[in-house]
Amino acid sequence: MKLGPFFFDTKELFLILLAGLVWLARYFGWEIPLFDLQKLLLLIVLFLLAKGLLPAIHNENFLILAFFTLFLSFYLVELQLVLFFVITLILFRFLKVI
Amino acid sequence: MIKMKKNIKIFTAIFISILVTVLLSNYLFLNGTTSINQAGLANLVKNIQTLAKLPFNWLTRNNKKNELAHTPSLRPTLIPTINQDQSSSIAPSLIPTNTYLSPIPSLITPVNATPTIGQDAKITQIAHGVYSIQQGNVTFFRVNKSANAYYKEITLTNGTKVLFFNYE
Repeated sequence: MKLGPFFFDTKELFLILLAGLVWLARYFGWEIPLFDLQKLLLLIVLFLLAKGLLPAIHNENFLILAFFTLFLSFYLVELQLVLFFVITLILFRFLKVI
Repeated sequence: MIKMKKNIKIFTAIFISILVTVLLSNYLFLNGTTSINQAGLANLVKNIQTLAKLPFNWLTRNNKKNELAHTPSLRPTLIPTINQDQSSSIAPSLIPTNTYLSPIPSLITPVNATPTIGQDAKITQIAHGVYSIQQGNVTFFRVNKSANAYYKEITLTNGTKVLFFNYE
């Protein structure tokens, strides 16, 4: 989908839709078992940012990283999640995965 | 084969990042906030210095002479040391004026003043197995074990409150 100078692919649209849903859940006080809504919102912003900066060819690696980060949010606090995400991206670069 | 090699790289990177994240945040940060834990940082530097000084002799593997290597106190620890004065790891503004953090539990004789959770202090679970102890809006430490068994608040005879953390 093209919006002005920006092109959004399906995954980005789903992420934006998810951000809307999570925001609604926070607003109305709905609870998602095992997930913290604030952490989820933070992760979605991170994912959108990374997705926007990475070329589409690396989508698969990004998906694996996103799932790991999502499930680590059960155990880790916000700062640790951001650290994990950034360190993994740097390591991906060093190992020439991306 | 190429695909497998790539997947191995991805999972290695993820595994290393988990380790680095946990180590970094244990040493450098408090409660998952962005405030730098000075004592933790000092402890990290001290541990690295200690490790660098250890007389390991890998070539001859003559470890009998290396008594220092087996001294338990020289082993690196993940627990940041906290001084009894208030110039410790936590920013002074976060410490209530009449509260001290006890560095060595054995120095303080426990009294029968163990509070129940939610009575004298509010204990919140931050993440699985990680708890934050708060009074009012002030967060001043966390414990890494079950909160019930590892937290005590002791009031000394002069009225000073001591927060007692029983690490294991």
